[in-house]
Amino acid sequence: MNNRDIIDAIVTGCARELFALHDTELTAAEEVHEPHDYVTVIGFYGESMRGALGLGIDRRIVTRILEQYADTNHFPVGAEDFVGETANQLVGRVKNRLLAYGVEFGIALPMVLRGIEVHLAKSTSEVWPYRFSSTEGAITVWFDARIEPGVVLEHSEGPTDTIACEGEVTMF
Amino acid sequence: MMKKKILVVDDSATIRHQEMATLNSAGFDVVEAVDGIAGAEAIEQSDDIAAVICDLNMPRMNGIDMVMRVKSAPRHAKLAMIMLTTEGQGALLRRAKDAGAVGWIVKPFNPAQLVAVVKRVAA
Repeated sequence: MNNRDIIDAIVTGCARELFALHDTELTAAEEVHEPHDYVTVIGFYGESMRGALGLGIDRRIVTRILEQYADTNHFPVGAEDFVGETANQLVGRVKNRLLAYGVEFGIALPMVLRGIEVHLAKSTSEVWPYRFSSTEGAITVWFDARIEPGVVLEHSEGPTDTIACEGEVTMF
Repeated sequence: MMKKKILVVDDSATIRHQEMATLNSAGFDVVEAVDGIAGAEAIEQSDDIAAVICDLNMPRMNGIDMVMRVKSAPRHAKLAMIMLTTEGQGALLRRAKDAGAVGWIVKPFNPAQLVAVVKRVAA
């Protein structure tokens, strides 16, 4: 598998895992209706790889997911904050998977884009889009990665640093 | 019996809401802060916070730096501080432990597990 294949598998797998937690099943799609109602971008930066992960998501999906958090005791969760946090969790999952390939990077804060419409270009050599459909609408994830020349992603077979998994609790 | 007070620190309102809903339902009183500086100030200005759940990547001050600042005061030596973050890298867990955190949870959290952890450390 080359770098693109590995990242394709990781990003699509992480997106499906994350949205499955919200009872949203994602199916790969060739094209989706754009622009999405919500778009967020979150940067990452490391020695071997840097760039940004983008997430576009339709309003109906967000509305349905947020309904489960409706609670008369607290302020309603804002859709924009939810989308930003979802991008944060998505890039966090991707990061944790890439650790096994020797890639480390820091994660920036998510930024929800407002007042603009985003139309994603077809795949380029550096920006890799992943389009999904679901019963309530579409989601697009894009991975805009600048990989340092000569970096080849290889899954480590030897001892690596521990990686705590999503949902895992570690008490010191 | 007075409810134990838990401070949740996260720049995401979504996460703070989830934490508050979960811990309120379990009988805790919950207060919130939006970043490491606000979290540290909330602790420094209070005498009755029983435990802290804290994100790592936040504006102004990250979670580990917040733990270090809080733990620099002897009166907070026993305050239980738990990280709740998307990060899972071992080196970061060790940094948090060295700073004085007592636990690490990778998002998304399981509500029952969060309650169990908080009940254990806030006892």
